[in-house]
Amino acid sequence: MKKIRVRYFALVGERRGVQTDPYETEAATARQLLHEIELNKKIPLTTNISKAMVNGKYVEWDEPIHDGDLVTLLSPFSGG
Amino acid sequence: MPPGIQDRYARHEKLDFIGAEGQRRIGASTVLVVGCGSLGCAQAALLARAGVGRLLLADRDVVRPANLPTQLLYNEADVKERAPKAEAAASRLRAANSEIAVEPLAGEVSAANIEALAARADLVMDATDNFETRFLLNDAAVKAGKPWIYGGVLGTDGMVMAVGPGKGPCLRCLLEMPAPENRLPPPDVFGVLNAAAAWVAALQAAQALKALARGAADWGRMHTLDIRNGSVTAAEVPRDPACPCCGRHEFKFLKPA
Repeated sequence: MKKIRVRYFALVGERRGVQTDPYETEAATARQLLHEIELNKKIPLTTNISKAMVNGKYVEWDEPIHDGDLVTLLSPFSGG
Repeated sequence: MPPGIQDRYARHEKLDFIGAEGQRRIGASTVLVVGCGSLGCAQAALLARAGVGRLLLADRDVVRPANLPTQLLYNEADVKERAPKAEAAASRLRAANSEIAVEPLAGEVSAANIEALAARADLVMDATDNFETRFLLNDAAVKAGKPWIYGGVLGTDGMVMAVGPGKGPCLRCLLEMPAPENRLPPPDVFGVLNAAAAWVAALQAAQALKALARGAADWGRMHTLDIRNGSVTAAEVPRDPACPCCGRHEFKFLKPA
């Protein structure tokens, strides 16, 4: 298991605003991580409407995830 | 010009990224503000007072009681009169700066009129409240080669990114498509702090003034703002060479569904 931190930005349900949680995963890539979180935390994000950052850098969904990473899952705000 | 205000822009002209020449360019510019809600009110107030020569203000709504805490240009009389936001905003801005032109456009911004509006503007300010309009605006701005300044707010958080066609990524380099409305946290459920909206709008206005004065905004740098903790972080969004919008010039949001 890799121990990472996941930073949620503007997600739905109970998770809104900015929130950073410790998280354990076997996901190899950002895409797998998103799918995993979508399944087990019921966050309705898909790769086509959101973006990932790893350790402060925007990445493609196939970016590998390593132990100790900070992964930000971001769905831009629509409010105005 | 009324007597006594010949030096009205003196404090902006002292700024290195504006100066007298930048101020002249700002005065010769036209900016389209799409939406006159919490972001649009604060943006328009800052840009009008900064001397942007012509402001086009688009909004389809009338002023309601729940708008008063967050939408800085309106008052209780506007609520009583059910004043169209674009018109109420225009009258406040004219009172603040009679030297500029302010055009209210009370109606929908859609695929039918966005290109004509963008063609008249040197820069477009995003003050919309939905992603469909933002993708429309992104298509129109990239197609016309005009910069636009993305901004969004929710609760106490916000995001801002300046999009410069040919200079950096566009909204579709970041996101493939607009999220369906039911997947996004709506402001009427989670609220918006007026100070957060003003902060987002202020950062957008600063980006706009940098772009108008010197053509030098922070293109493609996504700022994420967290006013509860008083912090801003920024990171470069990479340009996608295969982007359907700025890469392949397929402007699908401009086409009627």
